[in-house]
Amino acid sequence: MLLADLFSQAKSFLKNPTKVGFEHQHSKERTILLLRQHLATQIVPIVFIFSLLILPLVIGLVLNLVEVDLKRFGITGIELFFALATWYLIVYGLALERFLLWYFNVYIVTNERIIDIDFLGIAVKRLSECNLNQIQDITFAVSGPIQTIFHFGDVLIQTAAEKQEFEFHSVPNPDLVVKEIMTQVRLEEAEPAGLVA
Amino acid sequence: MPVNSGEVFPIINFILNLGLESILLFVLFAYLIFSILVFRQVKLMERTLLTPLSTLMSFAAVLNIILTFVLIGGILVIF
Repeated sequence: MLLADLFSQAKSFLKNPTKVGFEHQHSKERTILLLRQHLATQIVPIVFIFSLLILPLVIGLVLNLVEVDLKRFGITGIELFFALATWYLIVYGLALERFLLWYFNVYIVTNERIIDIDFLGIAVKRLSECNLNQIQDITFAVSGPIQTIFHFGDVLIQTAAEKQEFEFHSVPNPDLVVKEIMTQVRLEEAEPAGLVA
Repeated sequence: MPVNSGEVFPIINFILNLGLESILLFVLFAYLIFSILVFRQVKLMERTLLTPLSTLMSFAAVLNIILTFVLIGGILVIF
């Protein structure tokens, strides 16, 4: 139950997520949508990590086939163990870093604003936000066979804020995202100015 | 591997003479810096977006550093 609860958070499209908080969240601000890039965009990194995992096995098989004995090169069993352990530790680190970049690069739609949190590599963070009443135009684009099959695409939001364009890249169900943002914009416009509800 | 390759490329001779354990130690110390950077980044990410999985990610990053120290220690003790 606990594990299921944990991994239910690791989705690309979360509507009204619970137990989610973010930096500078107002006390009455509710998260309506939490979006990440669609998992289909992570196929290349997943295949790359998987290839790194099986590479030592492949090399071992090839060396076995051509009957190369590593002892001839002065490599002992314990050295081989440490080399393999180092290799798999590095693969673990790369996979962790890749997962972190996917998991924490999020687009948040609240009942007050939209927020774009970007982590570029392991040393750069960028956070942009825009109030719902500053949104001028929203469009979405699903282009190419992969996006059509897996139903994800880009949502482009024109704003009157300092950052004039917000782009939600490769998010699932872009039509639903646009619909939800428009609903929140209408609700925000109907509220008295300055009210957080 | 030709014995005289180091005459043409001294760096190759240097690496061959280092031994596997020295190369592993060098790689692991470089990786330790990467692991610490990842841990710092996880902490920054956790402050930015707090979810139940964020805590697990911190644990994974700490485990990464601990395993690096274990391997460095193991190589230093055994060799």
